[in-house]
Amino acid sequence: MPERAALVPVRPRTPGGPTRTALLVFGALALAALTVDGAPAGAGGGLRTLGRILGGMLTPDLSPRYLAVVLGDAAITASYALAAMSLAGTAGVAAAVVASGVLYDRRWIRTLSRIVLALVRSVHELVWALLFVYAAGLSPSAGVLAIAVPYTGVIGRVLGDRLRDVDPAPVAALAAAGASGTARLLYGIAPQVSADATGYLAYRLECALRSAAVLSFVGLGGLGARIELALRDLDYGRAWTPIYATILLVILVDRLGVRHRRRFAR
Amino acid sequence: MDPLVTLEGVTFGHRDAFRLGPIDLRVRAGERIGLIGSSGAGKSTLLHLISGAGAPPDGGTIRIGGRSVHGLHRAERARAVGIVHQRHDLVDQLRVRHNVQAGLLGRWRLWRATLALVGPFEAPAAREALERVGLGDRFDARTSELSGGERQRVAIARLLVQDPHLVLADEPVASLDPVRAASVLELLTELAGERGRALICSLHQPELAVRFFDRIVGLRDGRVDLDAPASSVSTADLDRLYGPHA
Repeated sequence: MPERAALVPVRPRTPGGPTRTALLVFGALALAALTVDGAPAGAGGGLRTLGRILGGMLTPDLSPRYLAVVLGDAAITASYALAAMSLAGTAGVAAAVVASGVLYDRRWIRTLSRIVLALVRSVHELVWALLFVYAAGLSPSAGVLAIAVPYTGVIGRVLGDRLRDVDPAPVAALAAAGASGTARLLYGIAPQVSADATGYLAYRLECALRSAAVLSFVGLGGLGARIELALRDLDYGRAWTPIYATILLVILVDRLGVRHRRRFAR
Repeated sequence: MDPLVTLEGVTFGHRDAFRLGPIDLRVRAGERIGLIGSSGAGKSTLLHLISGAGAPPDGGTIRIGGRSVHGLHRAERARAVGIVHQRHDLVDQLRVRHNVQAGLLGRWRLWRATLALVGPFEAPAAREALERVGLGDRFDARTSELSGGERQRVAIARLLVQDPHLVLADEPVASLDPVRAASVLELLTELAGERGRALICSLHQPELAVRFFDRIVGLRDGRVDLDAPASSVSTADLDRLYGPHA
């Protein structure tokens, strides 16, 4: 929201003071984190393995046959992410409307929906995946649902807050012109949030791609499974090809999101 | 002829804070009233009350066409009364035609409103209204690209499409330069006059009120202190209304 950001008064920065203290604290914490298991990171045989892994980064397996395999994995991961986001996007937007109270403003509905959204999003998608896999077996729908359920919680929360944050004056003017609640949502509220919402959903699709790649470790197929397979074979060149594919997918989604955001914000 | 608008003993506000009224006022169809008074005299509060969009008055009744405005269903109310503000009337992200067609939302069913928003469907009345306010070529423009004066005209076009019996305008020209202010007031009074509608327009500048309106109503400390034909309003009246000049 660039307009909103422009309204925030810029506080002159005091050199030293709190900023320097914060940097020192974070620096110390970062050093501590590296030695969290009692030994400095990369000690012993770890460093050599790290070197090999980094070597694989420069020499990914780009043979046509392997590329075709990775492309298939990418398609699986992308379709998981897309399917999950179609569900989570639809359910999340609907949940946002309910939780924001812009249509039916009843306190108990708002509170209840907020609690439900908080519950579903506080459980990580990996845990949801385990639950669904135990319940339904290793099926694509288990993977899709594992992403869609917590994402619905996050999207509903974020967009719900955004819906409550619109400029109320144009909406009030619509009400004065006789618009119903739904018409006010369509004409007054949705246009004010559509650019932000599109950008946010594109960003969430990005997250869903990463989640889908990670979820395939659970055994659902896709890029993550391919990475794990290569790592088990200690074939680091082959491990990096699907990692690069993940990065390319994320960049692709990011570009699409930027373009759509621009179209709405113009 | 029965008056179009009747206010009887209208009061609003708490005893210790600002209090409006009691106000009695009758407005006939075709009348164009300039509402003046210093800042805080209650002009906006009064217009907001008459618009029926907010809370009802604490005492008294406001009737438009014989019916209490706060008892009307939103669609009926939109036919009875419409209001245009100094700004903030428009949804910036929509195209101009959508903002104008929003004046029909009280009459349209939801499917039609949706179709008008996402489809190429347009209401002939909207194009006509935009041409009427001199913005026929901005039909498909983005509202955010308009100037302040153009935005005010689009808001008026929306009111034209809504076509209420009583038009309220709350400081419609406060942020416009004198030339644009005059053309907006001309437009408002002309439209209200030719359609046999009534207009109540609050203004900061009494000289504009005297120039453009038939009848002047002056508020002072929440009460009607002046109610006279524009031609008979004297400098002494205005001095009394705005207090002695320092």
